[in-house]
Amino acid sequence: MKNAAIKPAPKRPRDATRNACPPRCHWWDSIAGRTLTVLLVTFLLVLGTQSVVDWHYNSQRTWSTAAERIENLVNLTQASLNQTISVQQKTIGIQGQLALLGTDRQIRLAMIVDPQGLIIQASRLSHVGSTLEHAVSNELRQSPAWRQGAVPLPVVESRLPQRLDDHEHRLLWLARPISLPLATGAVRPDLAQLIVLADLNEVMSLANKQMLAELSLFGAVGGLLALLVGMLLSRMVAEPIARLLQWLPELTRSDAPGLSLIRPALNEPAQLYDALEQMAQELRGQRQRLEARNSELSAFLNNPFTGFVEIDPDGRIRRLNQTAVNWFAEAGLEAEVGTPFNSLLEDRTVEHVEAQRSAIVRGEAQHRFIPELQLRRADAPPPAPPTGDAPRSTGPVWFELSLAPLPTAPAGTVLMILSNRTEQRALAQRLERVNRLDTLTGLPNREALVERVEQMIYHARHSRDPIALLLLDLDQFRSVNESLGHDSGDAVLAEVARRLGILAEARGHCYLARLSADEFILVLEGIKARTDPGLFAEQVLEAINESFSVRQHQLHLTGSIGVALYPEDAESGERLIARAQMALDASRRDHRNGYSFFSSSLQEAADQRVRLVHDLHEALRRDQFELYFQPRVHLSPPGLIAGAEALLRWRHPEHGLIPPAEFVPALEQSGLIVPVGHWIIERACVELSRWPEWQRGQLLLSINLSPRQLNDQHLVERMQAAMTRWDVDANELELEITESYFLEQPERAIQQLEHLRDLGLKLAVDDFGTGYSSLSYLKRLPVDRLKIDRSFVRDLQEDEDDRAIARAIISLASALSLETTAEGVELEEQVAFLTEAGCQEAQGYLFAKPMPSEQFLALLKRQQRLPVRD
Amino acid sequence: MTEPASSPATSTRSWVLARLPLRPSPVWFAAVLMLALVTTLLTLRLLSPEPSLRVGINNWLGYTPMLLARQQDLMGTQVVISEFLSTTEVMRALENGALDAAAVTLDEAIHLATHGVPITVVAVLDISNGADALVAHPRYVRLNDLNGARIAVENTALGGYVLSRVLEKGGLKRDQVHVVPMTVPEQLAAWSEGRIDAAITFEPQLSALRLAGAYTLFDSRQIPDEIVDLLVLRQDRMEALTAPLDALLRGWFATLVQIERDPTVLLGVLPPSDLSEVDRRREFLNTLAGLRFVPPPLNGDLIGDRHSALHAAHERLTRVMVDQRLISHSPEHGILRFDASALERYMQHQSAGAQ
Repeated sequence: MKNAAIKPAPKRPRDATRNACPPRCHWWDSIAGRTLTVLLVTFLLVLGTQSVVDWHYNSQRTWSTAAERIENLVNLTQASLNQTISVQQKTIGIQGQLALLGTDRQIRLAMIVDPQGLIIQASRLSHVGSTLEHAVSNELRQSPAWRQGAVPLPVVESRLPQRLDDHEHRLLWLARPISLPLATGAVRPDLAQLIVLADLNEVMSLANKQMLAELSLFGAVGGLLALLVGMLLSRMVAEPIARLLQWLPELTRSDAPGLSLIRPALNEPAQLYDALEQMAQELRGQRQRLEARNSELSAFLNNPFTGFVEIDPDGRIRRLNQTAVNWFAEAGLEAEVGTPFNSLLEDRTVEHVEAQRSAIVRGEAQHRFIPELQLRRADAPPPAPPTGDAPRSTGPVWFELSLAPLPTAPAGTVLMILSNRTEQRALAQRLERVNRLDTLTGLPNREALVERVEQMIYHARHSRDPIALLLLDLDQFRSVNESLGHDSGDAVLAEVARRLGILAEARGHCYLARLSADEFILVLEGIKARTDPGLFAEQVLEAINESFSVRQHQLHLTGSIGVALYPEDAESGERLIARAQMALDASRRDHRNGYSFFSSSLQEAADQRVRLVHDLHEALRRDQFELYFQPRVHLSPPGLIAGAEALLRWRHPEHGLIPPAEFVPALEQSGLIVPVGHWIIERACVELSRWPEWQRGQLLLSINLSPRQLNDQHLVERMQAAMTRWDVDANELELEITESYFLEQPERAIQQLEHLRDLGLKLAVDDFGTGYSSLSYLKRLPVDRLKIDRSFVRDLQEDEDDRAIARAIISLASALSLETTAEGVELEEQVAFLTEAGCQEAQGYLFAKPMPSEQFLALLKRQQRLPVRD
Repeated sequence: MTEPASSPATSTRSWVLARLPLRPSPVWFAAVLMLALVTTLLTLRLLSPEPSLRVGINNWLGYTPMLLARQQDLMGTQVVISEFLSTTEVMRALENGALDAAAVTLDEAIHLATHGVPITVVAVLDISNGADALVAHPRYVRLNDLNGARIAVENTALGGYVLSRVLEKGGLKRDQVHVVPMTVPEQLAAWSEGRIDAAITFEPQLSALRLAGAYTLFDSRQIPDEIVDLLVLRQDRMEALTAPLDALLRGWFATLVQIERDPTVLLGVLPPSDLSEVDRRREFLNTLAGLRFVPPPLNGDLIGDRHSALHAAHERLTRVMVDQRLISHSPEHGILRFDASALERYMQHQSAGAQ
């Protein structure tokens, strides 16, 4: 297809798939990053809380510990000093103890101060002799604590131990009373004090530093821990996932690297990988199958013989295959996705196609078929086909169009399957011209007719217009052929066709075809009234009745017409023709040169015939037939039995004896006449063999042979076999053949009759005078007798014409050395005339009715001569 | 990303790993562990309290640069200087372990060592450059003239040593002179009363005797590098106190530079005295003139070189002290240990800093 739906989607550039991590993806959006962040934040919160608490507590503890320690030292020194002084009464050792006190890192200054604030002795000798205030200012001059404000000093005159915690400057003052030896010259030696200045800045800042370091260590360790956890998570979880993510886009590629290469060691992700690998294998397999199937499908869809067009609910092309594109291009139309499909069609087909499509869309039908569809003629000449072939004929492009819903597409999408019928159509048209048209008349033949009628019915089904089918049969057309030759017959048929064509043209909506030799069909559309077909039939008959001028001959023909209507009489073309045929048969039976409509009674009659034929089969099988015999008598000498005519009777088990008129035609039509004819021959021979011996040879038994029986190739053999079987001599039998038989197939008839005659059988022409037998045939026929038809005999006594005919026949026969038998003689007057005319034999109710075999045998035995009433 | 020509699996792997956050690799692990280690070590170092180097000195001018260094905070808080009025107390405190180091004379050092105090000499603080002398009546012109003279000698190692050197230089025997034992502060009175003809003395009494009419026949300039003041360190604390020792030396030598430029900076840290400002100043200058501070290279040589004058003086003094029965016995090469490593570190540090 032109659309990408069938083709495999174009592969994205490899680099695009590589960008598994979108631009907004940051590292902290990862599992490891999040874990790390959460752990760090938690840890820092804990740490922060702890440090705030610790800070205060630690400062206090450090201060008190240091102060306590120094106080202990001072107390010890105080005790030691007091003892030294009391023992030695010297100051020389005092300085040493102060110096030792000064070895302590926190003790900035240890001194003995008199009540005036003068420093008597000090750990730092440079302060000896100066005031406490001065010494302290000197000592602390450079320290930042001093500059920030006045340092509180211990009370120098106090006799009580003092402790000053100067938290602001981180200074600790300790004062202890000392008893000095009087020799030192102090004014009030008992008031001297040991004063110690401790600087806790270092201790405190060290403690702070330590705590800071502690917190830093915890922080660092915690951070590292979080980092480790993050890294572990990254390795154990994120990395397998990231690998998978990378691998997933290539999952279904056939050359995708196996997952085993990057399979993680841990159980859970490894199981995930294994499952995915398995899934991927299945997917790859499926994809391969799908691709194979796709290419198959693509080949199928892009075959050059079928066009696929998908139409969306708006009637626009949703997609189409290249074949369809090419075809449209051949017609000079540009079809692409979005083109309204109707714009490609010829205007008058649009409505039809649209109706079918909407039927599919509405779900009324699962499939619709449009056998012929013509594309719109392009205004501009079509561009050269892409194949570069020579431009094809620019005639209309024909399609066969199938419509079906497309279940996977959006609702209302219809798949149109196009087959290019242009060439087929052209071929078919050629073939139709050759095959479907009757070569003689140029009219459509039977096949074309049936198809055409089907089409008309198809359209009529929607339009609800009735159709009338007229079946015209030319009466006695065979005689034309026989008398004037086939060329003339053909000329007549051509003329008939011409006249009918004129009629059809004049009426319009009339389709004319030749059904068989002398049968024509006229199909009428657009019937307004029931009388329409009748009136038209009369017009047809009138046209037929006009004289034909053929080879200087003026011919007059009659015809019979059967009319069948759609939809009343039949729903299909074939049945419609069959019904017209029935109507035609009826018409022919009733009256020549007329027309009949099909009616249900005709159908019943036909059904009855079928039943009758069935019963006749049964009758033959069950031996329900009987032979009756009607005696023939000599007219001179009168009353002597000359023989008999064997007549077929059917003794029906329910209806009794059935007259031959009711079943013989059925026998003829069904072909049963042949086996029944054989039965008659056989039976006649049997009966003949029972005749009195002394009368045989003088009597002649007549058997009627039907034309079909005569056509039987085995007739002569059967005849001979029967005669041999029952020891019947050939001169005891006479075969009666109707005149029409000679008319239909004169040459063949003569041949067959000669065979029979060669057996020694006598032949008679039955019903002579009713047909149109030419006298020239009569001369050639190997017959022995003419039987004057009862229609001439019936009115002999009053009709001069009949008398003339009878006399002519008798004289003709005698001229040809043939005997004559008059049939249907019922009156003495007739006997008299016939006798006078020279007729040899007669048969009829005047002498005897047909009688059963036993009765006839009895008659034969009782009296040879039948009474002739005077 | 350009596609490497390697197999797809490899390229996939490298690609994936290149994009992993916190991608664990051996380098990463090593870096993290190193960071942890460094942090822990730093913290431990911060948490461990800095030990203090407790140095004891007496009020000898030669030691006062330490006070100046303390005043100027040149040594850091680790170094605690304790001032004592007497050397005896310093030595006792050092022996007791109340001090870690002390500024002492060579003989005091030998004394301490022979009394079982485990000390090591780490630096020479100052050298007597005329501060120790033999002064005599003007009638004694040469040292040899001292035959039969009454010489006031302090009954100390230093006194004995100077005497031995004087006799040696004068070519006299011990019994050729009359030794009058007395302390140095007592000498001026004895001189005035004519009870002595000569005295082995040191500043500031030296200047006082000269004012009283004594002449200097011999002073320490004639025995250079033999009368020295040393910084000794208790051996058991040596290792722990490396850092404060270095700080002390840095402060010491930094102060020496200042003193060389302007000796009077030392006046500010001197203990108060009863003298007038002029006298005090004069005395200070006189004393200072008899002193020589030893710059680092020479200092190192003296300590480190076993054939230096210091080592010779050490051996000689030991013998003198044995002779004087100040100490009972002595090993052949002296009793003191010398360790120049601190000085070498200082010099390395200086040269590194100079660069």
